[in-house]
Amino acid sequence: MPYPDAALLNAPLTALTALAGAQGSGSGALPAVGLHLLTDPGADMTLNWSSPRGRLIEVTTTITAPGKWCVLRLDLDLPDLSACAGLGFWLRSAASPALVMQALIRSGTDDGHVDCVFERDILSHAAASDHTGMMLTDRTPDLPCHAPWRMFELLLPPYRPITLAIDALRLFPVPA
Amino acid sequence: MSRLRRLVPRRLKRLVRNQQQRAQVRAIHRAHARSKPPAPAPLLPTALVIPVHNDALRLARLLDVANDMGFAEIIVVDDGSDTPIIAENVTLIRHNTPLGPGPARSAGLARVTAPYTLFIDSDDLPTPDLALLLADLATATPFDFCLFKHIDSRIANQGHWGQPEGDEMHWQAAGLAIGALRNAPSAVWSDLAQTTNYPWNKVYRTAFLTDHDIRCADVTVHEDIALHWLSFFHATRVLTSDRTCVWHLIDPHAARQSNRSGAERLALFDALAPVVAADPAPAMRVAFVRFVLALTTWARTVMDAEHLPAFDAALIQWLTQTVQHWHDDIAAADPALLTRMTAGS
Repeated sequence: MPYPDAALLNAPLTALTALAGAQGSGSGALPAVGLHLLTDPGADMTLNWSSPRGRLIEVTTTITAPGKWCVLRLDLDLPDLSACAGLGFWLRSAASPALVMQALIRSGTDDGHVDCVFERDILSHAAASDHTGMMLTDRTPDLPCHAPWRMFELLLPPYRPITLAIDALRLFPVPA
Repeated sequence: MSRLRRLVPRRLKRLVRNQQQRAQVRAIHRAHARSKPPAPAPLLPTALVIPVHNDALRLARLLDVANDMGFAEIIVVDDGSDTPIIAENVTLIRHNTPLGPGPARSAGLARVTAPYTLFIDSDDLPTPDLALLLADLATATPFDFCLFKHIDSRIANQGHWGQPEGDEMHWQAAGLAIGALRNAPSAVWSDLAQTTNYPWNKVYRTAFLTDHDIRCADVTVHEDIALHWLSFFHATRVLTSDRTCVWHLIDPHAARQSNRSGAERLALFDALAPVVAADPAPAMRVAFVRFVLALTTWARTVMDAEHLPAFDAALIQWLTQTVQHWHDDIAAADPALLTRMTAGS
């Protein structure tokens, strides 16, 4: 299996960042195929997003009744991790008020899927700050080396209103 | 056997579905990766006005960056430098004797032909975010000025990024801490106006400044207070951007205005006069007094001890007499503030 191509992994992120002025509302697919902003259908919340020039996305939510999840999802063409030691991501974000997010890799299995959460939570506050996360296959027994499909998910707080700017998000294979 | 019959089609279906999904994701990603980068967006036609006094090296550094950023014009005002400034590809104005950054900025503004103006100091640097903001503003609806965030070198030296916490607090109070481009409702202008770093953090509509005769005061320190506050008093539409567009250098060892510690710091109270004379609305009065108390608290920390008694006396006079006609408004909005104003009298 060839080493994963980071440019291809990040292609939807690159595409959305280049779409200056795109905006929308509600749960659903974003205008870069492979990227979704999704909310728990059981929640009563409004969700607005925009993609300013040079920035991945800004997300604002208001909550009437909290849900169980709210997620930025990136489809990954990464069925085989055997050529690398794992997967990492780099995120630059800002939020006011400050918030905490989690990131995970969801891998398809015969029975459904398995989620592996990155070890450290992401703190985002008013001044833009960077976060990196890494998940190694040999230290994450639940992360299957081979999977029919995978997703990267950034879990946003579903229970409180947020104003979040994600300046950039990049995924990278960790060299073996 | 029947279980196997049921299982095989289900597994086959899942396999086919997974294969299709993988092929689809791969095709999409490859298409994205092949797509051309977007063409450079047109920028808001903006003049960069730079006052400079004996700071040729840092000016050269600034111009090196600015000349590649697509400004409509760059105007350098040499405010009586000992060795006259030489700069190419700019409009160069020279004062043979130093008049201060206020008159230098006013002289530069008088020569601006571009519809928008950004003042920047010679030791500051525009960041790539500024180009993004100017591209955003080129398609924005008309505005009087756009306030943006900045990077303070003291914060950067501590390993962090962005503007001082005191400034950030006002952005958060205004509910505008996040957002590449936001319309700032007039109700929060009194919060935003209390930021203590300026005037290089705004893109102004040039005619807005000239039509309202908004400019720096002719004083030796804090000349830019009037420019900053009068802008909020006269504005009809203000935008904000959380983009950090300018790197602002604080050099405690340089011969900068902000490092002056002598009796000239008393001119601060002259710099407040145009703001008081403009007869601001009650909310702005309260905000301005808070601003003055914060500013004078800081100013006391940089002043020589021998000048503090005179400074304190001037402050008490300003709080109790100069703005005495504001006291009713302040008592109604913030009684504790009025108590603080009159405590030293």
